[in-house]
Amino acid sequence: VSRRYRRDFLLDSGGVSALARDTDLLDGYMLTLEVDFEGSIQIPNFVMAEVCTGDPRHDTIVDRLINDIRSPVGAYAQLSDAASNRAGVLRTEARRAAPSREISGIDALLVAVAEERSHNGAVTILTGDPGDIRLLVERTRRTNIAVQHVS
Amino acid sequence: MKRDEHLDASRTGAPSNGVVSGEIIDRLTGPYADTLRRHKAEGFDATKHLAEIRAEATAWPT
Repeated sequence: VSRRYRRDFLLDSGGVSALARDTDLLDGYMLTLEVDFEGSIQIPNFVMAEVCTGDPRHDTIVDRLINDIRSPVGAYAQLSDAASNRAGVLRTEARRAAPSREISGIDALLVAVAEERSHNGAVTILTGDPGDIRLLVERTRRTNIAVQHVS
Repeated sequence: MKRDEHLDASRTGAPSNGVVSGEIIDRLTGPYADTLRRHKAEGFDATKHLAEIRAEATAWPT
């Protein structure tokens, strides 16, 4: 019986940038998935809307990251219909809780995917901007979603 | 189960004190093993970052 528990890592655009730039950091997360946890590193597919630029000088390192994290479950986390609807609710609740904050739809979608995933195991969101992500995660009331700042 | 036991890499024989040698990368069989071996051959050394990630992981809820 494995003593490792399931933990998936989901990246926002800041997480993608950080891991694309720092291969040692990416290797560290892949290594911890090999020896400490069962799970995957994935980019929710809609996050690419904030990542891809069409400029090869930037997109090449992103392509390399996507190739590196490609595993049997794929590099991209897919958005379900239920999660897309849930994102709207989470975003509305977060805006009520913090009216001065502009909560992005992409962040809300990411947290909704993490919430959905958290029913099967723990989740860590790797983000360059943890403030709004934490606010949204709090709205889920899930206790097994971590938010980790990477830069 | 204590946290340290969670972090013990029993499958690979990696010690639980945060130290993972390059030799362990050669024995990995998981989904990222091939990528890690390729990066190791390119000269990347993730062991410092792994120690940092393990320290961060102690605060992650399960």
